[in-house]
Amino acid sequence: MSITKMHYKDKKNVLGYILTFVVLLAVLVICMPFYYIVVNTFKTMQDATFHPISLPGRITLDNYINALKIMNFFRSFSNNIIITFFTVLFSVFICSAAAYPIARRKTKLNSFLKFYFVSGLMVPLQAIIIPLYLVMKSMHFVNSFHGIILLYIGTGCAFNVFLYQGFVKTIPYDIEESALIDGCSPIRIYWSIVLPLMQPITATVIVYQAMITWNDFLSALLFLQSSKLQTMVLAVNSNIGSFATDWSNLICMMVLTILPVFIFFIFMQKYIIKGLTSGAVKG
Amino acid sequence: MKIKQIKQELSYEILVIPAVVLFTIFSVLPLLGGLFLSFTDWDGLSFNFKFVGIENYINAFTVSDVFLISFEHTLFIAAVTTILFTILAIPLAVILDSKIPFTKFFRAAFFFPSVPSALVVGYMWSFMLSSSSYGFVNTILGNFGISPINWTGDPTLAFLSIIVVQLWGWTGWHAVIYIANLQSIPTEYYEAAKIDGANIIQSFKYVTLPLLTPAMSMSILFSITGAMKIYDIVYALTGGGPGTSTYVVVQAILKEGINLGKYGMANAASIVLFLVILVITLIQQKVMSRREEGMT
Amino acid sequence: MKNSLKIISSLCLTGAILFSVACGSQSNSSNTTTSSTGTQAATSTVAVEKPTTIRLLSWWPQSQMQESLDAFSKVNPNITIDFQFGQTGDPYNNLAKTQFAAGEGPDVFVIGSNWKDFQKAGYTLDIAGKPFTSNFSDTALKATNLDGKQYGIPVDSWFSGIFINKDLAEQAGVKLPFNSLDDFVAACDAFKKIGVKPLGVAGGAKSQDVWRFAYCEIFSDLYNENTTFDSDINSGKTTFAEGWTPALKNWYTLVDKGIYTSDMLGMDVAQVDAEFTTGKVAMTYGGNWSVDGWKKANPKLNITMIPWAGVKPGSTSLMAGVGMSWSVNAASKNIDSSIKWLEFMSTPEGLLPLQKKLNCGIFLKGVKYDLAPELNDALTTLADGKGFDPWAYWDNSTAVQNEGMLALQQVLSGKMKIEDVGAAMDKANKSATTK
Repeated sequence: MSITKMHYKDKKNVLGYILTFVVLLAVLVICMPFYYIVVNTFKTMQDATFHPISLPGRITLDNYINALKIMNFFRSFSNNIIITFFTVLFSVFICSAAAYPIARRKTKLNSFLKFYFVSGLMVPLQAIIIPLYLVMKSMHFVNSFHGIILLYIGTGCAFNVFLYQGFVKTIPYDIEESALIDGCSPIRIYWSIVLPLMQPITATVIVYQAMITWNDFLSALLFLQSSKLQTMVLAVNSNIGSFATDWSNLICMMVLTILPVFIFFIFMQKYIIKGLTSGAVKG
Repeated sequence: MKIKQIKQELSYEILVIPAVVLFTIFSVLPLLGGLFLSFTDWDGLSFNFKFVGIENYINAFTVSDVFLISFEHTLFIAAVTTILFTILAIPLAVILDSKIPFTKFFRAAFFFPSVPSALVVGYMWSFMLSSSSYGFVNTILGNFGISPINWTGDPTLAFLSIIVVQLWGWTGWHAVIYIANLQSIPTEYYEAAKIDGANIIQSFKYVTLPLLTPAMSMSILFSITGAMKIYDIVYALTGGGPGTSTYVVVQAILKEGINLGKYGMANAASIVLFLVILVITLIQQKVMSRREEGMT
Repeated sequence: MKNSLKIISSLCLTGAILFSVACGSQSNSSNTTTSSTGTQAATSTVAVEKPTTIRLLSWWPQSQMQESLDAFSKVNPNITIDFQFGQTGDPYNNLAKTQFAAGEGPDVFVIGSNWKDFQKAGYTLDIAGKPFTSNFSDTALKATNLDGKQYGIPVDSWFSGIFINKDLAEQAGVKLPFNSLDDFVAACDAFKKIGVKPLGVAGGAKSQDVWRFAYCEIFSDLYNENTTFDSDINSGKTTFAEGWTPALKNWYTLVDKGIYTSDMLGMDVAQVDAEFTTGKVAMTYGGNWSVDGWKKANPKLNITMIPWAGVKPGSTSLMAGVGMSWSVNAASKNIDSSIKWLEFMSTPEGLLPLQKKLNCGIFLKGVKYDLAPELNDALTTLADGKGFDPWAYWDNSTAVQNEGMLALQQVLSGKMKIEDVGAAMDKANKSATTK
């Protein structure tokens, strides 16, 4: 319930219509770039050059067929799925577990840990890639899925722990307390009581972590060297060169890269706000 | 008693271990590595190096002005985008939380630009903002009789382009944080304000805005930390150009450090970047938490 | 000294190109003949028995390399190649140098004009005296050799200049080729008169093509006569401010005349290509590698490459040099297998598929190949030894080249004076030694 809702009760009609219209216009402007990209994927190169805005005169799918082949779609797509799935899966357990004591136990160690994780938001990872590379190399993590998955989990901790610990604070303590009196261990309490209650924020973490992992460029470029391990963003990047850029194929690849996240987003979008509402902003 | 207490706390802390280990290895260790190397003359070739004190830090900001310029640019982008996010996202959140139809669809539409990768977004916009007569934006403007604008090729407009693309991408994302906060404000507050005779603007100013402080704190934190580390989008959109007019810190570090082999200076600049972000965020958090305290 | 060597080598290789053009490629048939059996024999000397995987880092995308890669795995079934791509320029260099700095360089990699960075750092294996190197012409080998150490095998000979749309030229009454800068200016005016944009340049910071014609002017005005300039720069005898400024000022007259415009800074290769292939723009910068893509975008495109002409009548020049070389990482764990790749790329089977895609010259002794007919008009200039790539010989090439590109962008956006470009490059040259 917010301010506008209250006042709508009085002047619902006029203001409501104007606002809806304005927002609709804004949405149209916001969506323009996607229209532009998508509509041009169905045009021939000539058509796209001369008439960038109009609908395709004659729809062609050649661009997509080429793009699927060039970017080795099924391989890079399944690589993305594997990496994203495991990163998200482990992130959820590891970060929610860490957030639980940090938010629940008011010790000095825990307030330090809270700051420790938040400071991760400030680390400019791209600016320290050589030390990062040395770390990855010494752990034999270069050129492997498990290496990059662990990297994503580790660097994602900052944001995820932040979200989770804000949420834990909103969970009533009574249930845990009675479990504690019954002699349950903290791990048991986390696993069987707190984790299920965390479901809304878990959904949010899943969405964000999945998006970050799916879209990552620099780490993937550096640490997934083998073409067998190539991800979709890398495939897009491989086709941008200063010598020759096949524009119509490139935009198809962009669309193909965005499409899976788009579908995922459609299914998950209601959780984005839900999770945040149920507590993260109170963190 | 005390031992029992410690034991109990430790039984909780076991849960923290995996996250601490992974986080330390992949975020903290590289940073410490960078810190260590920033005091040495390591040249990227071998591990024969000696300590040079703070020489790298001095050199980074005296030998050439590229780091200084890029810090200026980055701070500018961070300040402007943070202010604009706050100004734009709060009203947007209020509207998207109101009773207008299709709110679910609208929220999704505004949020969606933050979903694709920054690299893809940057390249997409660089096509659209091209000064070429076929550039999408210029073609649209042309329909209204406006002559082509050199979006990414003019030093000032290139900045504007970066900021506009950032706003396009992330305003909806920040609005979502505010929406979440708005939904947690009890209706009674508004009712009370109404009884006191407050109009829509007054109740926004005296009820909504102060109660949005938690969301504001979070939104500003992400905006600043994100903008200070900005790279992909700038690289794909303007390439830092024309010339060095839109160089950002990370780009300067990569270019000077790796490409031109000035590892020491680049490591020093990375540490300075981290410290700058840290200090700004600490100040911001302090100010915001004071505001929050003042509220209750 | 190095520069004169460069001229000799380009002379020899263009001789080879002209020869091949003269014998039969005019008929446009792709009768590529592999004449020497000696080079083929070199392929199968020592077989690598154990299956290995080598990592290849290249700035030519896999799609362009695929034929060569496939052919390689047929000859060497035990060696698997992991192909990694990095975008030309900064992204490639960042990627390669990060990997090397962390001690994890690729087994085999390509280097271009900044080869000194890699050579000085000791990243490249010395392959002097390996039997397969004798497949290459001696002059080309010398171009990839420093102080007796062979850092790689030369792959392509590239050259670039002005590409002009012949149909539009005819329409505008423009006569080709240009004999002086004035001819070029007159042509631009003629194109403007028929309502065609005269010149398209991808000056955006990602493609950085602004500097290319400015450098051409320098080649025409300075390098055509002064053959020791680059060694003088290295030894500190002269400065860019001193040597380059007059020629840069000549180039700047094009800015004053509105031929070079600041909106070029907002364009990248893809957009310029689109304008050029659709006849919106009459002239653009391009090289041997451009033709294939342009013809694909518009098969009816009637174009030709011509050299740049300087202030003095007849002072024509092109950009040209040894493009990339394949090098082996000195610290590679699979040196034997890695050398197999170099060995293979020293044979027509390895090189010709790539040659066909790039339309470049190659340096294999006695091997004939075709070039796109669009390139013929530029070949005499090459044969005269007027193709230059001085940056390959500067000691602090990466830093100086980088500064030059940035400075010229600043000039075009009005943030820097043309007189200050040389001084900026001198400063970069000097400070390049500070780590």
